[in-house]
Amino acid sequence: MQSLTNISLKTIVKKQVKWEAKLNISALSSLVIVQIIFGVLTSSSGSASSGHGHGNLDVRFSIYSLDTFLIVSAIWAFIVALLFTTKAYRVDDLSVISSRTSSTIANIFVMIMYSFIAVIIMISTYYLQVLGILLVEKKSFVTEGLFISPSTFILCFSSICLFGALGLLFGTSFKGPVVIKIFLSTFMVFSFIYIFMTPNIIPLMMLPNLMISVLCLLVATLCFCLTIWIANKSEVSRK
Amino acid sequence: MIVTTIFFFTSILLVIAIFQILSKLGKKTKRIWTPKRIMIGITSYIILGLTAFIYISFFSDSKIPVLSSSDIKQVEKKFDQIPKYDQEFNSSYLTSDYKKKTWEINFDGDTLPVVINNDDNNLSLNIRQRYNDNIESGKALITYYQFPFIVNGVDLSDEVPLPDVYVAQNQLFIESFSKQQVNYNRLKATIGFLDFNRGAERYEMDNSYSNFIVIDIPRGTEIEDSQGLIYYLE
Repeated sequence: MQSLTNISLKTIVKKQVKWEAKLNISALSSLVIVQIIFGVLTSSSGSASSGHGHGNLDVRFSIYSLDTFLIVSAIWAFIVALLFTTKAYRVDDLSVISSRTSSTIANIFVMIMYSFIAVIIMISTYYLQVLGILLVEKKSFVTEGLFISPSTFILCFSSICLFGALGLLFGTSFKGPVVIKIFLSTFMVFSFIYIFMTPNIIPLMMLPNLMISVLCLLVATLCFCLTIWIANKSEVSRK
Repeated sequence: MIVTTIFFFTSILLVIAIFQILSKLGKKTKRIWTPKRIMIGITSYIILGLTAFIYISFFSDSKIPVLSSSDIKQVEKKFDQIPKYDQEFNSSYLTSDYKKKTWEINFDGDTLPVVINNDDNNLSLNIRQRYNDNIESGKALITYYQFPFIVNGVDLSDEVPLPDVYVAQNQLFIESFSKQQVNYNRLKATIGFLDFNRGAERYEMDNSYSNFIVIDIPRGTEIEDSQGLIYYLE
């Protein structure tokens, strides 16, 4: 049966976002579990440690910061975004009238929403870890900063969002034309190698939190736009 | 950077492994974990985190005071004068506020041989001799002074182990204790690797003049210092 009602893209996306957010909620529960596991694993040593020695006194500081939880959340966002583009997840989209473009836009919105919730989950895990150590070890902390500043919050959100965007782009690029597949995979592999193998990332780290956040969000937006463009291009050859 | 890369890739593998396990478990428990129940679970977890935050902020007071950069700079300004006083043989900086322990020893004769057994940390102990008219012949006072020893904003002067001071075969032995390790948990709700690369780590002061051992001897008594580690003070 065909409908003659003209439904706008906005309405489709809105419906799809609601549907997908509810459908993929288990992704957030998996993040909670992963965060708890990493929280327990790093409970004895913290995210980092620093040592100072002078004379016959050695001082060791176990630093409890957001690093581990942020890295885990970023990896989670990448994997979840990648999974959103897989065939198994796309089959679920058939429950709502959709096109590949609308589905991609909906995925982007869901990813942004999930990134925000992921930051809150991440912060919750951090405080629960600290509380756990306080109650179990009964040892005082050298408290240098208990409150998470808005700039740190935005930075965490933008970083998770960026990894989510990269995951979506990576996943979608394998459904697009062959040229895009080759170009994007080569570009991403080289980007990863460049970021992790060279110290050129340090000048970027020297920037203020808000500046890094803006950069991350800009790259994320670019990735999202590319994702929509590739999805639009592969619309005709929906498999 | 290599450590970060290894950590990053290990985390990726671990997260993938957990995802695999969860997806297999998820299929079996799909009936139990409905979206509504998951949502309730996540909300409860966030509320629990918020409760933890409230508990930490209101009910858990840290007993370890942390000095700010300006506090450390003030302390440093005060102790910047120590090397200057020391070079002028002036002992006025050695006040009772920093006195940790005094040992009174007896010896025979007019010469007191001193043996300093300081392992490999010869630079960490500053030993000085001073003539004191109030001390009887054949007696000596060894006083240990500890100035603030600040690392990462925490004053660790109470944690520094005292040296072992004793007399054997009419010789004064000053021995430093074996290495002692203290562990602290530092709570810093920021992105640590960014702070580290930005050099935002707490300003630290030079701790090379953080402790002094002063040997007070009566006039007419000589100190035999074969190691050349003892300097004179007035």
